[in-house]
Amino acid sequence: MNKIEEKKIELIETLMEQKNFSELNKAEKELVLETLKSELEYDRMKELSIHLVSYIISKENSPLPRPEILEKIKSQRFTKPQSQMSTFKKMLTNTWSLPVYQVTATAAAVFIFIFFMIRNETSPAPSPRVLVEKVFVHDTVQVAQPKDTVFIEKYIYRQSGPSAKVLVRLDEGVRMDDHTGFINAEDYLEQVNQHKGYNLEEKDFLLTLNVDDE
Amino acid sequence: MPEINPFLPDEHLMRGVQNGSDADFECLYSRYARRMLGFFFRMFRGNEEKAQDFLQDLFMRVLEKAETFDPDKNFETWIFTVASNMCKNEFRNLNNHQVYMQREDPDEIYWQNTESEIDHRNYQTAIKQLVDALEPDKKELFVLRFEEELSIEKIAEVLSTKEGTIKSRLFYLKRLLADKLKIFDPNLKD
Repeated sequence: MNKIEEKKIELIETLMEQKNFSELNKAEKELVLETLKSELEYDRMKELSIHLVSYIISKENSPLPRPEILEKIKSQRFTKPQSQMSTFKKMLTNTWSLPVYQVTATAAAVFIFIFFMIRNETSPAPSPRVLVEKVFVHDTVQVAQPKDTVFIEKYIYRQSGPSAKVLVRLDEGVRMDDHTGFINAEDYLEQVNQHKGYNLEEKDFLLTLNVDDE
Repeated sequence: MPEINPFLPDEHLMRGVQNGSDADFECLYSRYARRMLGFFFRMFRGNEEKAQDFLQDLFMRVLEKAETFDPDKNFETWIFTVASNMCKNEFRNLNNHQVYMQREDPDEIYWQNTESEIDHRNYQTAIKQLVDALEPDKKELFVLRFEEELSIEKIAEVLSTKEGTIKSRLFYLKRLLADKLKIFDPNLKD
């Protein structure tokens, strides 16, 4: 509810205390009818307000406080400090009491606890149970394999300038000329020179150095 | 009952209670016991047994919570706030269904009274019946205002709300009651 609405209600209430609807001026009537449905509603509320002013709870019907209430409050007030005593003090002063069912339940709980403690000590330890909670699957498979022997092929010499015919016969892997069946000498040499290796001079030189080529 | 100056304000007596004065407490009790019993009696729809128990509990709380009372504040507002909170807790604890099952239908009361004698006394009786049938929060508002005659300002403090809200709630409560009581005015026809 906003402030304007509150103010309006306040004004209507004030008007109700003073006037009937017929006694209101035009502006007042308009104000009233902005909130209430009709003239009748205004007059009914006015009627009720008059009754409410004189409305007093009929005292003959309203009860009187029981005389013992005050005494009870006072006695509880004086017994209160006792309830604030420590448990140990209460036990000493014999004011600590427990209901029978609580004592019985506590004794039963203690008995059961001791019974299971003794039973656990005498009985053999149960075999450990292995529980599989979760299985992880890996997708890496390792297979044992014999070691491979790796051969490194290396030319120890390189022939330069041989007749193409001879070399071609020696090395079947050389591509042959489609028409003659022999490869051109220059082409062949070009291919041979692609292989890495040492010529004889280099071999002799390496031997002098006694280099372990492996 | 100990001799206490009847003109001593409640707040002064409460200060005595805070210092452990039984005489001051008894004086406060004598001032408020009947009013508070009436309040509980109305709130619990005439259940006297319950109202008496709540009265005892209320004054026990006054003693227990005396330290929390600020003597610069109004005692009447404070005690009604404590009582109001007790009622709220009680209504909360009770099954709402149960509360409303016991509630009379205001329309039924309305019809029951159509054939009865229409006079001022009946009008007052009808108001009481209607108030009894109200929801707890509306009933509390009515009781505080028209039975305990607390000011709007005090009601606002007791119910922890704004004065404007209390005014408008009272207005709409009266509107509701007036509508239910229209039968009592034979000159007014819809």
